[in-house]
Amino acid sequence: MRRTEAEASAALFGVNQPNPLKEMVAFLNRVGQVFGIERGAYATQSSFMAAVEDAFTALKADPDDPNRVDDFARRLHLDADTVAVLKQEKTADMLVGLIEKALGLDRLGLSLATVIKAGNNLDSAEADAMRTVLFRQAQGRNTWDDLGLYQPADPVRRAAA
Amino acid sequence: METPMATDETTDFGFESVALDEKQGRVDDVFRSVAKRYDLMNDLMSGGLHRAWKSHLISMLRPPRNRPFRHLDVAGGTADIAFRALEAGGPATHTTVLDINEAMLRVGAERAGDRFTGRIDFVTANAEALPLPAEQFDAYTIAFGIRNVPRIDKALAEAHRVLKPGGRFLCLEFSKVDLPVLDRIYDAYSFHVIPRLGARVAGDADSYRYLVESIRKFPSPGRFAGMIEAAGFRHVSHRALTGGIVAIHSGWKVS
Repeated sequence: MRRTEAEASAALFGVNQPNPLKEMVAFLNRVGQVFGIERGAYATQSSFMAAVEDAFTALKADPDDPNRVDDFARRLHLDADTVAVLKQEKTADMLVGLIEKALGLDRLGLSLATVIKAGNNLDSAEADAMRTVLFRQAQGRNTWDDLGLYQPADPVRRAAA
Repeated sequence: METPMATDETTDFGFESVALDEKQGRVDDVFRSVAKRYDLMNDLMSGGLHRAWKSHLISMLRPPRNRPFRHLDVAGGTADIAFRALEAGGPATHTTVLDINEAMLRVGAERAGDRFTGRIDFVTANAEALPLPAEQFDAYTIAFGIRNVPRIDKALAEAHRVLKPGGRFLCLEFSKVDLPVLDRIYDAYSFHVIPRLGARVAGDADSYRYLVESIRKFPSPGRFAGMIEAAGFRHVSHRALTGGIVAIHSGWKVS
């Protein structure tokens, strides 16, 4: 079993303690949902993340595909004006930006590409960064931003807690 | 509590309230005075942090490496943001550096030299009335500039006008420090250390006192987000960096 699966299992079924990896797995599941990919449909965390990466690659290759845009619009609750622009866009910049906003990644200082890389390699620097940010964020604690500097916890998450 | 903004006829110039038409001239004087030492002062004032903040802005801008990308950097005189965007982007990334202050632009043009030939140009103009056609740019950035504009709403409307549908507005600006200890340290540093640094390095304490005061008078991130939305941008968000010393505001042109 690859480390991704082993750690994901440990996170999901381990002791009931705050766990950075558990936060990360939960977040990756939300990323999958934005792409219309459910974790439950895959036997392993690695195959799930591979599917998310494939979907991300397809989005970048063909950003104005009207069916894909409609699917994202539904999941992200986008208005008609935004959908119209996205269908004319020849780049994925705006849609990726909107996905990042919907997931709160813009506030966390993580890009979608970083998160997907992190999910596909838990030993990567991206995964380290993501675990740290998510864990501290989940606890409503102040965190270190990507400049290595002190940053207050996300007020949205604090209010929801 | 947030300080009320100036009236329709007046605007803030630091802690003073001045006539709208007067502010631009006084801001020009400030930047003409500090142009040659501006980047050095930024390093000294921020302990080099302004470089990291600007790099973060570029990471959000994401200029592509494999396709054309038209970028407008407003109030970008010394071309610090432009150089970073051009280095991050591909050969078809082009940046227009626009500033109302020719002295600042001259510094930028000198720094550019022969680098980025054909990929950068410099325009002297007012952010409130851009001499540029509508829907030309993929991205509009303004770093540490919007608070110096007398009519911010007009500058935002112009930003919206010149962006293509799907284009992105990004603004890096000083913000409100929201950490209890850091805010007091930051205040003491801002009002006592920075003007002295300005006096010793740039020979101009008053200009740097204005810069500090203008930061304090700038609207809160939430209020500024409302102004960005009022200009027509959608999906507006902001992110605080370094305990709220600065924030990056983002919005998209949809229609």
